[in-house]
Amino acid sequence: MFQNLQIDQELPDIQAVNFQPIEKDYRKLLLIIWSVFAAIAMIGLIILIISKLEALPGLAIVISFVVWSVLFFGLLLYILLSFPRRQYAVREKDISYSSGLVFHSTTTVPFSRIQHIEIGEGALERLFKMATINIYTAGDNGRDLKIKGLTKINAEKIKEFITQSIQDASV
Amino acid sequence: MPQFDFSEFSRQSPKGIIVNYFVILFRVLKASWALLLLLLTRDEINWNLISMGVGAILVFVLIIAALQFWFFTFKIEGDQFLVKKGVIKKSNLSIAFERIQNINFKQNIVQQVINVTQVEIETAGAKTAEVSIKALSREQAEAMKAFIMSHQVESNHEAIETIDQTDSKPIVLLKIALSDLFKVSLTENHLRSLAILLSLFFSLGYQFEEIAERMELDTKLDTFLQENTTAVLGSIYLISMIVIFLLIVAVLVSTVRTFLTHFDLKVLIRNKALEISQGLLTKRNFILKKEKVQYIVISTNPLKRLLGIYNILFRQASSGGSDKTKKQKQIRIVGSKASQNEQLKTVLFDNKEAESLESHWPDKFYIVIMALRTSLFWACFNIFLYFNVEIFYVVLINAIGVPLAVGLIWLKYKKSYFKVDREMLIKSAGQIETHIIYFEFHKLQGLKVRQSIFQKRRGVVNLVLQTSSGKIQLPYIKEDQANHLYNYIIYKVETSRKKWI
Repeated sequence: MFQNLQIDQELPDIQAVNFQPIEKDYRKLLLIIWSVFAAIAMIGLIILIISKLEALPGLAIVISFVVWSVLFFGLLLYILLSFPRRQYAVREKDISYSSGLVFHSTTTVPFSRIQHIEIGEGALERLFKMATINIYTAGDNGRDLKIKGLTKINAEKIKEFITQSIQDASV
Repeated sequence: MPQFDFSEFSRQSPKGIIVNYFVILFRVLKASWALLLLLLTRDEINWNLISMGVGAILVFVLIIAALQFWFFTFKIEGDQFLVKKGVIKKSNLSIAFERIQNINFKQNIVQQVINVTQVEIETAGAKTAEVSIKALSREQAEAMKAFIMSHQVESNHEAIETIDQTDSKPIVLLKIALSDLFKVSLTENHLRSLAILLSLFFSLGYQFEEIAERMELDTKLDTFLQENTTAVLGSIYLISMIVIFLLIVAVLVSTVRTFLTHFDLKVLIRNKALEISQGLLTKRNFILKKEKVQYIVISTNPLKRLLGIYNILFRQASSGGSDKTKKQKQIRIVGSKASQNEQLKTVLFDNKEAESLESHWPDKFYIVIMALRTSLFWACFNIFLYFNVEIFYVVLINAIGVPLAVGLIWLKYKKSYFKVDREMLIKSAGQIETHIIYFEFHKLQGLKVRQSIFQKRRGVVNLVLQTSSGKIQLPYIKEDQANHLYNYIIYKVETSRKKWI
């Protein structure tokens, strides 16, 4: 196919890499966050209905509740089904992350292009002792790789590993 | 070259007051032109009051310009460039030489008349503001640039080889004649010019509204329209007049735009770098080094191809910064001939064997998706038409629109191919126009492969190359081909020792 791409050795294959799943606890966290959002939406809906009770036909109220539950359960289903697709892999010279159910994507960033690495912890994440790793390159959109749902310790380890290998390479 | 001392804090040339004066005056005018028009269209004009007001404003601007000049000082200390500025809000800026990416010269019309040069220092940092010194003599500017460049070299051994050849003679690659510039203007994308003009009108709309209200233009227009509505709708004559008028306006706008930015375009090759200067009211100078250019886009359209001319866009790293600075970092040149394109590529790229290699097209499924999307849009449009215009026009619009859409989709597919060799990707895109991207793999920042569930069933994916100047997408390519490319490009980036910026 690419007759000109003959290389001395077999290329490392991204498909053959053993991708790691992220922490199972992160699923709980996702479910909690979205349930809170859904609950807030429900409260808003109820307030709206009560304040305009006379003006609204009964059918509209029923429909709005049906829409809410379809959206909510659709969301839960999506979170549960797409969760196993969130995977990451660290190789000797690059880091990859793949995710998505309807639109699946895999991104790889070589260590040599990383500008800096950030570890972020939201309030809920801290509760679960988890962290998000943000990897910034000079790419146009800045933050090119973001892996959520790692344990704090694991995130630190990955950061340490990448920083070390960038330093080794520059010597 | 005369010696200049940069070790003490010094001011710009006193002519800087004049430059500042016009910059501020222009800003004042831009903010208040609607107000001025409003004053002048009043029934009774008190000339005394107006001239006193204008006089006061002019004096005030002069004072600010002088103060700004007085408080703007700069010096070089060690490996740092220091700037102190600000009348009320003081600010101190220091830029390490190693952070400086580029030093560009610029001259607007005022600066050209009083013969001073504006020096712009570009840095790589996302948050640091770029410094511009508005008024230096040409010699002083050159001396400062040479000083900074030579000190940059001391801390950066890789660049020494370029300094060895400082005296090498430049080769003139491209020098555009007035007649060529007219050719370029006439063959530009006039629809885009028209769109730019319209968006300009809308952005000024607020100010226009005020004036229109004042002069009761809108009521006059309304009555005119009411009286003539029946005539307007029926008259094909009037419609064609409007089309011709818009066409003339569009061509005029294209010409003005082309002349403003590309007047007296010159491209030199010196020390393996490109030196570009162009512009009518504002003359700009750039130096493009091969490692700084992330990728280039060579564009043409049927008319331009007939004349054998191309536009070339040089994309530079643009992470961070506002949209405005991002745009300034994309340098466009026009009217380049095929042979000149070749020379340019030799300067910028190590090898370009890919040109002769096999082209790869996306999967045919790409056509299906484009056709589906267009049909969906077209169906909605037809429903809208059906309820709003006579059936004759619905048929007419479809008779023109459907073949046009089919043709455009076919063109888009035909033009979206790519070629790959050891070092680079060549990717073509476009419908009426043709844009060909030349990208070297070692400039890549990240690689992404995307697949929707529909694409999964067909076994195709989108491959997205993230660069520091935007994304390059290869749509709907076969999974195995994409995977092969993915592994190869990552391998290339990770084994490359070339500088990417």
